Amino acid sequence: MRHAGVMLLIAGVFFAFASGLAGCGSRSGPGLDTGPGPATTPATPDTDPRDAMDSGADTAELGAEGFGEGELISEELGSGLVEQPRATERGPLRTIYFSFDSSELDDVALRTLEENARWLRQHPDNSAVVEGHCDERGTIEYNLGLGARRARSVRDHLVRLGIDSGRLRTISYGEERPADPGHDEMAWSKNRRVEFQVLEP
Amino acid sequence: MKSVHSTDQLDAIRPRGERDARPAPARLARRAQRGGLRSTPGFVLSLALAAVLAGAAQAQQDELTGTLRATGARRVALAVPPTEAGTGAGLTGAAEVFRVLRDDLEFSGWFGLLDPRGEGRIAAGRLADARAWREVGAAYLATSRLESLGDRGRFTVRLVETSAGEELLHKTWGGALPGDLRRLAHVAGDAIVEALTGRPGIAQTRLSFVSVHGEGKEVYLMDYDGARVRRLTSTGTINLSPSWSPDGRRLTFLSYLDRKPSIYLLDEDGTVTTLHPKGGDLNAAPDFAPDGQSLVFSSDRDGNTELYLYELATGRETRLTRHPAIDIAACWAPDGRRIAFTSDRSGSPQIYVMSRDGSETTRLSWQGGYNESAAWSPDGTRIAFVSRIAGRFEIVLHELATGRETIITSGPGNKENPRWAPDGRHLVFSGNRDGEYAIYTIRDDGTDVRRLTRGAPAETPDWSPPRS
Repeated sequence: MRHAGVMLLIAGVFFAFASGLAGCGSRSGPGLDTGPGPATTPATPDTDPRDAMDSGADTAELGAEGFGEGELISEELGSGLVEQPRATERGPLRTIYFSFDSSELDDVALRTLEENARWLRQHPDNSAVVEGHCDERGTIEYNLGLGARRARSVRDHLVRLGIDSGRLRTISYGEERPADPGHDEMAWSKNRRVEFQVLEP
Repeated sequence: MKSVHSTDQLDAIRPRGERDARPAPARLARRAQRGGLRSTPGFVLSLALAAVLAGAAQAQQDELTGTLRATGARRVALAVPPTEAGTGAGLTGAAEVFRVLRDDLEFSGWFGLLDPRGEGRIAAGRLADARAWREVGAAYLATSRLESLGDRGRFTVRLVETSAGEELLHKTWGGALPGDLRRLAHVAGDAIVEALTGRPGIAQTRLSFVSVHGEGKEVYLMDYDGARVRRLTSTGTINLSPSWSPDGRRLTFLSYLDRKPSIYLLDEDGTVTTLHPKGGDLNAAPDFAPDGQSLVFSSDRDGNTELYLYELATGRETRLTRHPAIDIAACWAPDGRRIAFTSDRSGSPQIYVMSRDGSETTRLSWQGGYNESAAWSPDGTRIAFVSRIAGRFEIVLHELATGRETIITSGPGNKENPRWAPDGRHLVFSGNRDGEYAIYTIRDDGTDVRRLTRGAPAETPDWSPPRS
């Protein structure tokens, strides 16, 4: 079986509502059960508070809610945000860039990949993670697929250039790890990319 | 821009109520006219609506349901005077529960809510008097009262039809105060909706989504109205696309917990299970089958992003697509027989539909060069998806019977990831019209857009099933 249990912290304490608390009885509440007609709800019921609670009408107690109840977030989302890690050009392998919704390797990409392949041949003990990324346009799920295809496209070309596929693992980050957080073509063109993370032997 | 869809503007969508109000019987029309003459700008009733509303007022409850269905009328004239602060209850609590209840009823889209005090035309002492409300045009009256003892509260609602005085609902709910105040209002709101329409309300439903937190994105939950936000995971990594099980007791989502995107299940008790720890570098976009027994998801384990079926009881997997294109973002038809998904096999992403065994694939979207993120409506008649129109992503509803497509969003920014409410009359989506992505709800006719989240970006919402 593939199931592997992993416990996550559930933010919040799961609690069941105490049931059967005093005062949740079985009869219709005063003031609301006068039947059809005018003046169905007197403005001020002249009953004892105890009676009011003790004489409840078929009170349906709210059950427990799934997924816990605690730690409600009263402030805005992300209060106290940590600065997001920015992907940067790193290591000896150079980043490959793509057109919108494309995983095709253009001339620049092909030349860069030849250089990257040369480095990998010179360092046979290193392996690399090939990370596929997209710009923010398009939906998150489709971009995961597109990032995967970009990564595969790069990996497959490196294999054609003689690199052992066992040294290249692909991962798609979709639009989740932009190199440039901007929202224009300038930023997008930097985000449609495949980056390499070199792994030491 | 050349419109590629059959309608390009929100106002091109005719409210169903107006269309169907015309053949109202003379008797009803007269009453409507009377109501219309009396109407002041503060009243939400229009003349045309009042015809239907008054008609509904004459009917018995089951007939009302029939009337609503037959005419498609969207608004019933409902009076909801302020919640009475009963024994032991403070005015603040009563005011809060009243505000939430009214908002639930307003949001449902079924009702034209009259001014809570009848615009001063009803004496304060008669606000619970059905006949007084009838005179100002209300077809139904919902009175309510909050009582409390210590930290326990009881919320009682009584719903009557105003002309015959027939009682349609009289019920009391109990919970903890102040923690359950909103839930007490929601459960009562749903009961009123169900009593008047025969359909369950959605005030007790919840929305899952992800939001930026720390160095990652975590799974969050909130009420359908954006209240009571809470974070469910603390993984420190990226989590995406939480999606509800049909019983509302589990969420399936994608997480980078194991460094690469894999599929996980989060139980309501907090247990997390991973489904595919090893196969492929990408396992994504899971969606529960309507029977809860299996998931459809995408994986690149066979060298390319394809759709697979995963049976939860046995762990058995079946490959559904065989195509060198990206096949992803699958969603089930409510009858469990078909699956809609995104594929770029035509050269650009488009929506396709296939049977649950992967056969009989047909292309659904033909307009525009970029259509993604399909969501099947609960009644099975429509598919919502995202379409790139004039450089922006908008939400389109596709009617399966006619092929008619309607753009329901407009204005700045992108709108993505539509998911249906269980009532089939609302959708939730993520959009960035105000800058960062936030969660919004919208009526299926494009009206009543509400922003629910503030602060850090929030994305990939999904609407829970109704609370059983």
